[in-house]
Amino acid sequence: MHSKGNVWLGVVIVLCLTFAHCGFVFKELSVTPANYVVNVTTTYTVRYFHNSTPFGAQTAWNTTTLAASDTVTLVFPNQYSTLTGATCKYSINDTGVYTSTACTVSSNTVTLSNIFSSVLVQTFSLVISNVVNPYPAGQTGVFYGTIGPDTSNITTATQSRVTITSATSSCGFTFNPNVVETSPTNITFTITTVNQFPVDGYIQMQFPFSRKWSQDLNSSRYMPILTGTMPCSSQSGVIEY
Amino acid sequence: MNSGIQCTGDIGTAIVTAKSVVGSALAAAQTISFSIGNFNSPPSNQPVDIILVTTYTFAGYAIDSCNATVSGLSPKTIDSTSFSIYKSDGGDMTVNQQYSITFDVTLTDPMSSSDYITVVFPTGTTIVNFGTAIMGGKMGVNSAASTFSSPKLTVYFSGSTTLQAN
Repeated sequence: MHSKGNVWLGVVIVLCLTFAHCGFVFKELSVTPANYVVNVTTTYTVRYFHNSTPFGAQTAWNTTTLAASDTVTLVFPNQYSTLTGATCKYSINDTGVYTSTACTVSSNTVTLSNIFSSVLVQTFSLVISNVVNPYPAGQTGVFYGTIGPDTSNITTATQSRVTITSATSSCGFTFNPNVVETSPTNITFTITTVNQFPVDGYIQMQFPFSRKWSQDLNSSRYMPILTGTMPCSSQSGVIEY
Repeated sequence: MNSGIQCTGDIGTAIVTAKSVVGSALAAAQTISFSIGNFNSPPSNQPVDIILVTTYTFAGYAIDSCNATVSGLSPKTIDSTSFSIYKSDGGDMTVNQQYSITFDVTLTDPMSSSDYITVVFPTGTTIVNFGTAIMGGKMGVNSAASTFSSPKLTVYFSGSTTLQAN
């Protein structure tokens, strides 16, 4: 047992030496928006954990003090079209105290400078306000972060993605004729969008999976959903063809 | 420029997709309206079935979503030839007398014993000793649950019967 444990210890040390030479891999960089909804202006909290490698071993950052010349960067994925107006505050080593600071925005990169003063940094929390969530919804690309004196030498492989959700709009449907249990009747959907709708966009209506109105006592009557073309027509005043 | 809205359905997923919905891009906070023909309406106005509506980009990324339930449906009118009231033991009724009366209704839609019926009498009509009134029909009547608050009689049923439409 003892000899086997020593073998594993040796492997971890070798891996850490390897990372030390090619640049540290952050254990984790987590990105958490306060609001995940598409196109919403919100606040992003980003936590840098860089006191250990993906294998759990300690990195040199535990024992390296950061100086005023060291910077923190966060690169947003290209789905974020603008970061203009972003404001920043940060907290070092989970003190719970956040310090406001100017952040420089260049394209999709936010940079914080002159925030360290010979401090050992194990965790770093960055709060960026006035970030506009991407449009449309979906999973974003990867966020990259760096901390340190020589970003070119620090592997920025730490990754995080955010899944943006659709906005909640309002909609309803009516029938014409608007009488219960009538067939045929036209079902008209009216949707008031929250966000812009592209000319090549589409709309899906998810009907009850059983294709039956749940109160229908006629067990053989299904919603006339076809596989393939169905008759429909525009009722919208804003449509211009 | 789109040539006009096109809808396709999928029985397996119960999803209907509308494409070419707009002729040009819409700004935010606009209204889109379209109808699907040859559909059928639910049997009541009770908002129990949810339809989820989602807008997407061409590439399939969601933009907005909402859900809606049925509203605004009117009941069907029971034709006068499908509805009759008469003295239960036959014969004519005389003014200001007490009778047992029978309602015959030919249903236009199926009816469950969990449904109920309301009958609104002409103003001034009373049901004497309603609590002891005997009620019955093709479906068992839940006399204890049924109420009369002049001029409206509400009849509840018992059991698990379903009456099909005529």
